[in-house]
Amino acid sequence: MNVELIGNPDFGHVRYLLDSGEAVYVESGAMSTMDDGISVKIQMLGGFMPAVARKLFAGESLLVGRYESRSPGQRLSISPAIPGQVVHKKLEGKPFILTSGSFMACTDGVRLSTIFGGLKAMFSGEGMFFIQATGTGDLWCNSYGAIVEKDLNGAELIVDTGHVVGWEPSLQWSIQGMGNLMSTVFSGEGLVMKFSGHGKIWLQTRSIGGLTSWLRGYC
Amino acid sequence: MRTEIIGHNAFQSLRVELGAGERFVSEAGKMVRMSTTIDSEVQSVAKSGGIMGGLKRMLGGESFFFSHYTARSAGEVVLAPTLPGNVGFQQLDGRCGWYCAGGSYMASGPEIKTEPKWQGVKGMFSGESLVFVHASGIGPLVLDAFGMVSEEQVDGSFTVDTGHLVAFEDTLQYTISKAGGSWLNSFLAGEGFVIRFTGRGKVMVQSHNMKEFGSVLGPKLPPR
Amino acid sequence: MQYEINYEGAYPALEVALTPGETLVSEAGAMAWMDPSVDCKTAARGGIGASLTRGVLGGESFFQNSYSTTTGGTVALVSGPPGEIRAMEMTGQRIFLERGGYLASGPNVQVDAKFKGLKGLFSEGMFVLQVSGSGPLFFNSFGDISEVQVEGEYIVDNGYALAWDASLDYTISRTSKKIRSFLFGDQLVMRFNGHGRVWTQSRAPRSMGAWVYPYRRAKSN
Repeated sequence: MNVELIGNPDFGHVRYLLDSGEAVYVESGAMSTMDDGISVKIQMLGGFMPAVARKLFAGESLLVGRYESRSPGQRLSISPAIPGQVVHKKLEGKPFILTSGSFMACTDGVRLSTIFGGLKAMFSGEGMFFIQATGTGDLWCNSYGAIVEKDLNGAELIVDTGHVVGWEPSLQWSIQGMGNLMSTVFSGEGLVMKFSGHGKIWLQTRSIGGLTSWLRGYC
Repeated sequence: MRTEIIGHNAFQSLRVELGAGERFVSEAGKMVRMSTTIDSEVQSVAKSGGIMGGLKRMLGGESFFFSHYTARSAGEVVLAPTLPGNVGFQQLDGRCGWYCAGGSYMASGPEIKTEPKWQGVKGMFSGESLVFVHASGIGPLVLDAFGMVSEEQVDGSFTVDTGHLVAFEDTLQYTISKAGGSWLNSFLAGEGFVIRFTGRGKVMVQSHNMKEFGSVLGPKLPPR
Repeated sequence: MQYEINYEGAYPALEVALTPGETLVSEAGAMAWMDPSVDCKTAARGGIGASLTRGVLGGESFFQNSYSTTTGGTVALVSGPPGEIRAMEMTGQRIFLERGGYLASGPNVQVDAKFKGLKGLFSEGMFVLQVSGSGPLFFNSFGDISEVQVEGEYIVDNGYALAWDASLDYTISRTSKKIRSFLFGDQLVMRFNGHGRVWTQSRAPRSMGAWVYPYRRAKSN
């Protein structure tokens, strides 16, 4: 499998060159172009119930297409719905948590499950569930805007909920207000997530909420 | 006349330098700025075609109206696409024409003839547009795109999601098809309809899909 | 005030390293991330009247956030659309800024709404923001920003003009005088006259608003 990440950070997308028998799981609607020797099969990643839970609560598509090549050197391009950066993560047994909408594609061996964020997540504006990717394999994620990786290394960071792409589960997080009650209600940030501990977090430099509230002024 | 694509990757625009008496045509509403020496006039349909031509064009997803720019003396016009991305550009040499997918026609030189082409039953399934705009003649053809534009040389067969298609040479044959496997599979994968090209020719594709982007934003905005 | 505009490309972020005593004022909702040592206070700056004009007429938020710190810390601010963020040092000059273009500023920069002109009534925003005072101003665009030095006359579509020096005269008019043009998709343009700078953006917010229209839900009634 030959993989090329193109267009980062403005219009990140992925181009695969697949040989016979090689396959990738792709978020529904993400395929843009492909050669004839690729077949598509619909699968629900992680079994039926978790897939349903993902669809209902994490906003991620219930179904993914399994794009498998039947002959050598077949081209497949995929792109996210929102323009931004696309990143690759090699999973080697250590789990990674993604916010809904950040999952784009993965290979065999990656298991996706829905994790309940607890009651605190209900108020985060990001939905009650997150996606946990485990196993070994390749994972491709997308963002709106550029992706900024921060290694917290014991420090704390406050993040607007719309700017979180993913994080390592070794980090702790909590939901809090933005300063006093006045700021929490009127700062436009609402509730924010506070991360602490040791591990990496991925942030995005734009948020869908920010885009839609800007666009609302021109509707 | 001289055309130049200006701006960074994410936000390209087209600059057109016109000499005295030279003309250029664009879809109405694309003008960013122009010299004081240039007159612009809005007409329905390029030059002729009348109201019926305009209606057809509307079905093709194109704006009803065109801006005609004429230079009294040397000057420039800058045109921009609606969304972030590249400007698609083809210098037509008369060898073959291009089909522009729904909404992708942006501007052209005065010697380019544009006409909507009813695609019949196969066009109806695409969900994109019933009509492609066929551009022929000699001169520049400029296309509106979302994301990065790339050109794929088809020799044999090639499949493009309808939302990623910008334009293609009229030497190619195409069918509205399914993305591998069965119709059901294709539909469930969210790739409702794809266009399968066969033959030899160039296809211009855009990295991002306006329909997908619109479907994410629309529900988060106030109802229309 | 120490700041950097980071992450090159279509989606930069403004990162400001605050030291004790410094204050950064921003549009509500612009914070992406910050150190816990940064405090955020939300208020209607300049009183209710000024906030009303700025918020309701100027299209900016009614409330603004003030960021400060007692020990030092960094705050990252971003805009909504894909596009540039620019810094400008205000030294007593006056500029006009289209609504939606304001991101943040130092505490001694004043932002209020001004009537743009009668002809603007039928287009996007009758009002523009007037920025004056001294200190850093951060503004943002949809697309790239170009700075144009105007000497004489300069015509730009109304949706692409982002900011301009108050020293410039301008009128808002149609591209052509024909009634038919007015009825069918003609554009409003700004004609600048005199000496001064104009900052243009390379995409028009109004066009994107028109593009997204069919994707919005239909009103249910």
